[in-house]
Amino acid sequence: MQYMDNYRPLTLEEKKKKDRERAERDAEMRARNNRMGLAIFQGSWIMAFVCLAIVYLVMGAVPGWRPAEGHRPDALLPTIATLILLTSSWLARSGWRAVTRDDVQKFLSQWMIAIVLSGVFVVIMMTQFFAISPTETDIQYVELYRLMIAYHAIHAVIIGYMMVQVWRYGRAGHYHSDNHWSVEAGLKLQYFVTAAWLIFYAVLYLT
Amino acid sequence: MATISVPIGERQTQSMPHWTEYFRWTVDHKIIGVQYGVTAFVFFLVGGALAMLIRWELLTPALDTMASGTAYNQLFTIHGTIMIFLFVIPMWGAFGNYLIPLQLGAGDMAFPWLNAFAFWLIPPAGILVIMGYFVGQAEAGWTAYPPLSTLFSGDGQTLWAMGAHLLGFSSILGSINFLVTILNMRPEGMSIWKMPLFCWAQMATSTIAVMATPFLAGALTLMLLDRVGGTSFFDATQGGDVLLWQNVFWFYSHPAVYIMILPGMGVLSEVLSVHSRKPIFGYRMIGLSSMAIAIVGFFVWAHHMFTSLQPELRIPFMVTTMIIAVPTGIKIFSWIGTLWGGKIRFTSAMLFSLGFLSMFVIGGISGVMLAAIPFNYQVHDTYFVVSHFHFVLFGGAVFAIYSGLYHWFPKVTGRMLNETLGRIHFVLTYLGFFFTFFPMHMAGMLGMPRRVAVYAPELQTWNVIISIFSFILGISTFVFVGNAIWSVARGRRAGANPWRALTLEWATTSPPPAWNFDEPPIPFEDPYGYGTDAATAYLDAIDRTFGVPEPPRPNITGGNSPEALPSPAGD
Ligand code: HEM
Ligand SMILES: [Cu+2]
Repeated sequence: MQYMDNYRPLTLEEKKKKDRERAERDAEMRARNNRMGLAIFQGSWIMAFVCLAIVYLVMGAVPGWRPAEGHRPDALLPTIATLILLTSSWLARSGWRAVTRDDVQKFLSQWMIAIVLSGVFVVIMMTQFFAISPTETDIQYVELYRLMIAYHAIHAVIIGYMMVQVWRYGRAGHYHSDNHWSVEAGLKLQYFVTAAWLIFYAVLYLT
Repeated sequence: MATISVPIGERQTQSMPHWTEYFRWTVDHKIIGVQYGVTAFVFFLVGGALAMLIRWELLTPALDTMASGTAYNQLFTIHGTIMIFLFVIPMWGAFGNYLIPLQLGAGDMAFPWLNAFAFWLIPPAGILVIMGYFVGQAEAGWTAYPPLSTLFSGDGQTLWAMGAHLLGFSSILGSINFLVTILNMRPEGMSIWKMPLFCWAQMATSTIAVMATPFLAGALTLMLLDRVGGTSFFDATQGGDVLLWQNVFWFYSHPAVYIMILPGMGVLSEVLSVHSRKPIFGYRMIGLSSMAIAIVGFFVWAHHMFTSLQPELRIPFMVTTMIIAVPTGIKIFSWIGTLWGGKIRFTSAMLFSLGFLSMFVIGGISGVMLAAIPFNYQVHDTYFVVSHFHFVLFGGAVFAIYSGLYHWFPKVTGRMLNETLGRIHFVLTYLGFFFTFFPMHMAGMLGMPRRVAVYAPELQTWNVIISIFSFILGISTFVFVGNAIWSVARGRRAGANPWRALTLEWATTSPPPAWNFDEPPIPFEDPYGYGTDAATAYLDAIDRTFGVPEPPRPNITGGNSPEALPSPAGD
């Protein structure tokens, strides 16, 4: 309680210094808050995907629930799409690293390709959405299959839109080595899209 | 409203923000806290009115007040939904928002904007749920089991699911905020092991909320698609699986019952220690047992489905369910240890905490009884279960909420609640509560099913007793409402620290200024270290700096009993 006993008004100089220090501390704190908040959000929301994956596994354990051999969706295109999505994440990452080194041109091009690849992924998976049609015995399977693809695609599209925004701000010259949190956030959200898809990919095509 | 001109102590007390502030978008965690609290309390009154209707209907064994069985289904569905999703959970959001930054010594929450956003999702969600009335209200209970919720319930069920979705999202955002604030915004000197136990409880609660709520989102997505998207995930005639909903829902909702009780346990840890002037017994065990509950709580969900579960899974879930009583027991014993030999002051806050202690134990015991499979078979879906969860939710959560309101009202408004009215409120609530819900055990064991408006005539005596006391319980609420309204305007001025408590929310004016502390506060070495000279010196310094409470005005506030006086210096 020392400060309370010696309470006296601050001089102007002291006050200015204090304010400056406080502003610095606050900025640092905000950066840490943002990172941690985003990480918790990712850890939390991925659970919605885990939930659907578990639903799929639980229902898939019932004999006769999955379509007969030969009626299963082909894994080739989804596998290619998955590789494309991974590439997209990887490029987004190298775009972000470019910003941290003030190489804005490289960032813009890498980031743009990442967005386009992510779009290609969504388009391929939408073809898969329509590629299978239910028969008498596998309505449930097809419904869940489509739901999972669409649920993921919605996230991919929303986050893709955010990445487009980041790109536009980047082109307007907002980002550099001292200010790249938005880029980092976009990148981490793209990681989220990728991780969420890998979970779905594993249960849909590997089990 | 309360503008103050007389300086008491070196600094002036603050006045509350202008009332219009509370109806606007603002990012001040204290205003948001009050917004949460008042909104939740309004929903409490609405849900309570519905409960009165339920009890009115059950006065007789026949269907009379309600137009039909369907209308009765809608009634208890909305009662349960409002109480759980729109009252208890947001009310803990209120306490968390108001107190976490203050108790940690921080200026605000980590994400003030997100905080406001999370709050403003709640009113529209509540309106969605209630609007269902006009399109065929939801009628599948707060647990919304299909096929009732998918194939039969009216369009209100769709609105219900959308509302629940919004509330879940709000709860996730709020919890992210709490977690980051607690983990990241503690100033120097506030280590995690010095943190008030209320913050520990909120940390455990938020962990549960961020992990479990997405499962509710998943389940609701499936339900909404079944209702409006033409799918049939829960339709057994199309190869769907109704148990799927139960599993996913309870995987969220059992953890969610701890979302509803853990913060209350946090309140108890604060109140019992402060009002008995004794260090908390087993600080670490209380903090860690919250975490243990949070973890074990994820492995017990199927105890809600014993009667429909695969036989080989029953015993494992019975075992985990009984295990979860252990960390709960640790807390109970720690609280009793705290009280033991303390200088107990029977303030209203303390009375409600003691009420919690006695009533929650009964709910815990009936919970363990329900966990025993053979017993569960007999009473599942009877009034015994209704009794169990009201003992933990009303006797637990609501008592803790009242306790917290009496304890922190002075901090929020700068004025004390009237202690005499507080006691009247407590006595009516305690007796009304006990005699409403305890006889439900008997009715349940005699075979009275829950969620049905008609019952066997020989059960009427029990039901009349229950209903009469429930009306007393209902009336008791208004003693509190009246007290709160009167005290905001006229109550005795609280000063900074009327209870002479050591946690940091008291080391600033009441209400606190815009950024909570004019200078970074210095936490006392032990947030519960009552009874030492160092603690007395610290408390005296706070009194000198921020002013002492106004002395009681006998006859006007009725606050001249020794318990209502500011604690004499020296303890
Ligand atoms: C000692 C700890 C507890 C145990 C062993 C326990 C056990 C149980 C069991 C086995 C049931 C299922 C009864 C049935 O439907 O057949 C049940 C229901 C319930 N419990 Fe608990 N419980 C405990 C604590 C709590 C707490 C702390 C809360 C809330 C704060 C709570 C809220 C509920 C609710 C709301 C239900 C009924 C849900 C419904 O079907 O509407 N329980 N409990
Ligand atoms: Cu449970």
